[in-house]
Amino acid sequence: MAVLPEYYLLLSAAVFCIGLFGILTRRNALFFLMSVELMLNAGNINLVAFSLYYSNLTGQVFALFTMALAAAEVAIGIGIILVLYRNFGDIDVTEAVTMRW
Amino acid sequence: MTSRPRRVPFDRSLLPGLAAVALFVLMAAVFLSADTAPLVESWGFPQDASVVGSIGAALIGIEAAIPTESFVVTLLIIAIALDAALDGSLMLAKRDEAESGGETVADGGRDSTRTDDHAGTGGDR
Amino acid sequence: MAGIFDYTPAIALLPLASFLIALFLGPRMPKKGALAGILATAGSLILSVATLVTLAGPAEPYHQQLYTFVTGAGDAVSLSFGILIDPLSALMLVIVSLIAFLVHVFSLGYMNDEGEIGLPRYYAGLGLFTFSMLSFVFADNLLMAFMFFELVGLCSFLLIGFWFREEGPPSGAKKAFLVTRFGDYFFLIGVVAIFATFGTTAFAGDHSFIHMAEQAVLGDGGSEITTFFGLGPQAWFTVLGLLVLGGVLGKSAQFPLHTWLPDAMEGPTPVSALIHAATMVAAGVYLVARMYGFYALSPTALAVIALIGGFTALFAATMGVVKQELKQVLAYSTISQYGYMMLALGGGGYVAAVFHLTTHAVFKALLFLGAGSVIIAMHHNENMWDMGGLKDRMRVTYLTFLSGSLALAGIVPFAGFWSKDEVLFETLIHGLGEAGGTSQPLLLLGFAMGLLAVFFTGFYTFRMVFLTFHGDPRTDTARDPEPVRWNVKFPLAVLGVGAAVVGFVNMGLLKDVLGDSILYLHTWLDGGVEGMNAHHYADVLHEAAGYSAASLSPFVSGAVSLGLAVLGVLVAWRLYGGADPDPHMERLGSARTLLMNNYYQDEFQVWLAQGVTVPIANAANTFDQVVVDGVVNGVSTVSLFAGQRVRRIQSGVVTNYAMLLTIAFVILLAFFALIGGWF
Repeated sequence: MAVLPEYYLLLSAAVFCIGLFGILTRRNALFFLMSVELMLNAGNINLVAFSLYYSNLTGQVFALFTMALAAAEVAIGIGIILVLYRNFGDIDVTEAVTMRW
Repeated sequence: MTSRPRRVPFDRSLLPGLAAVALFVLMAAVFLSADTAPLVESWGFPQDASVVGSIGAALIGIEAAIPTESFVVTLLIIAIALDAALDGSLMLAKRDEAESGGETVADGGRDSTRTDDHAGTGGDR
Repeated sequence: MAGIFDYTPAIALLPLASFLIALFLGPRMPKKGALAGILATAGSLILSVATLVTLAGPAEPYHQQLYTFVTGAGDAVSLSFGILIDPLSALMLVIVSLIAFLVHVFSLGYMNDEGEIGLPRYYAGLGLFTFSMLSFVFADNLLMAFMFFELVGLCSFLLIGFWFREEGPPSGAKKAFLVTRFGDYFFLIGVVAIFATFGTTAFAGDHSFIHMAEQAVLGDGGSEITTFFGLGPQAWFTVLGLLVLGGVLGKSAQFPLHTWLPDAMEGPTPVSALIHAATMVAAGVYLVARMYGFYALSPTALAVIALIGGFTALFAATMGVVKQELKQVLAYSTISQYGYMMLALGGGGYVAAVFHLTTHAVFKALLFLGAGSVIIAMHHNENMWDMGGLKDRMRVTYLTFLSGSLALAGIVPFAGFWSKDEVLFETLIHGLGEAGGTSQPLLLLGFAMGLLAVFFTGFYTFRMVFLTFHGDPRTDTARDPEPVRWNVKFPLAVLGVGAAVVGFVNMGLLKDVLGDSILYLHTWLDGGVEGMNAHHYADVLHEAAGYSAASLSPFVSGAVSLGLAVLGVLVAWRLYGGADPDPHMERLGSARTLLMNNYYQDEFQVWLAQGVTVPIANAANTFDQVVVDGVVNGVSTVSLFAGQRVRRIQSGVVTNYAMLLTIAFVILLAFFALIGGWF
């Protein structure tokens, strides 16, 4: 028996919103990055699920590339957090607020 | 040891999370009310085709068992992007040779040219 | 010589040329511009006399449009300058140019010989004034008359403030300008209203507004005019007449706009003689006489004029009784005498008013020039209590001054007697006439006030004469006055003879005895443009305003007024005729204080400006700044405030931005979901 597409969509929406929750409430910059990863992977879930329903492998290959991009983004992100720590002494994102009104 | 269950005080900083909850509710409402009958009728890959083999074939641009698009150019671009990310993170991690004093706190790592007592005091920040 | 009429613009343009010459070349001329002025006014005088003579040898009055400066398209109004020479204007041209010529000659003695500085400015001012006054006299439409009316006021301001480095003259000049300007504001509204009603402001001809007004009230016309505020033609013409009267009251120094004339005596005496005795103040009365066909249609306006005139005559005469300075007495006398002319105009005596205008111009200019001669002799000390005994030391001045005083007081056979008597007689008979109406009691009231003022006139005039010339000299300067030269004595002599004989042109008192043909002035004013002569005005007065003449012997009123005048002279002689007169006026106590302070009219007018106008102006200013500017500033304040609040969204915290993005995304999705029917 096939899993209905709604459930895959629901799953990916849930993962996405958990990641979004993390972005909205987390103060540590590393957790922030982890939440971003969650969101990206939620999109991956969707891609893979629908590649099955459309009987086309494009979704799965695309998901691979998305993962590669996520890795690249994390690399740069960690570098930015490093520079952030150097300048503000803390990786709390609510501390680095000099670009404000 | 046992300890009484403590009530976790409600952290006000969690309130923005309600926006994420609202988004989930909205998306759930849309997805559950969608009609996916056309999708369910014809799904699945052929039983005897190799999925991984087809992925590999798609990556290098040759014909594969399961229909897919060609991702050759994308592969090359991703290779360049990963390369750029590597160089970028190395550049960010490197400290400037001539430190500007004052506001910047530059103890993101120990400076091998400094003396030990100086390094000790730098960690207090 | 019909061609003489082509030269009439030169009557005004010659003094204009002398103005320019005095202004630009004056400093280099030997008499600083006086000779140019004398030659120009002599030329104007000769041309005016020639025009008068041509008009008398029967010639049609001359009406010529000179220059159209605004051409209306189609039915619209067109504005132009033009010349109208008819008996009234020809007479006035001669008077103005004669007095101007004599004043220019006198100025050689008063200004040049006394070593005054800044004379090119003085002669330029005189030239400009003469040009404006002459142009005003022969103006053929009300707008042109208004323009030159204003220009005359400007020249008065310039000339009163001639010695502007002292304190008094600039203040007097400013007051003169402001008070007359205030009256001219109403005049301007009247001119505009006349344009709006009639579409033209021409004085003469079938398309003049006067003719159209007559047609509206008496004839069957009235289709071409538009009245406002739902008033009938006669009521609306009353309104128009009263508006124009505002300017007349200002210029002719009638109550309540009389306060500027005594302060105008700060100017040089020749200026006082020319402007504030004979010509500029006559402009108001001349204007009413010019528009008399219009005023005659409205009995209310005529009654107002008569009442104001009579009241002013008495009011000013009482103030002249207590003055101590020579020119001040003459100033109040001028105000009072112009009151008589207004009384005559309101009372239906057009010829009487013009007659009194003529005689007054002659004898008042004479009195002012005589005062100027005394002032030169007394080294510019004007206080009469410092004079005395000058009659033996200044014969020519004394005799001519006496001639002028007898004319002013109205003693037979001098000029003032005939003209003042005519004024009072005309008012009396129109007041007693049979056709009833509400204006008759007012005319009789004006007559009574004018009659009472005759006593005061005789009194203050001869008080002035006795204090100045009779008795013993009271100061050293009076014992040994500075002698005056021919340039002072010549104008005095000419005017002295004039004051004695000019009355004979219209001896109304004797018309029953010698027949109507001796009324030369009346005959002169009867000629002219049909619709603008004396008997036409009498007809209009009878039909439109309901004036009719009682049949009364002129001897009765003549005898009464002569008796009062002689009584005044005798009282003055009794009080001041001795060798060392006492200041009897001080025994009047608080009444004298009231009169010396001019019934506090000056303080009242200043209070009107400070106590009434300034608070209103402050209120309007506050409204402008708070309400009007407040609205504009409020808009900017709102946007600034909103900006200050809205910018706090940029808090710098990244998670806040993410939250805002999420919320916006949710709302957008929900919107599209609802619209697109995703559910």
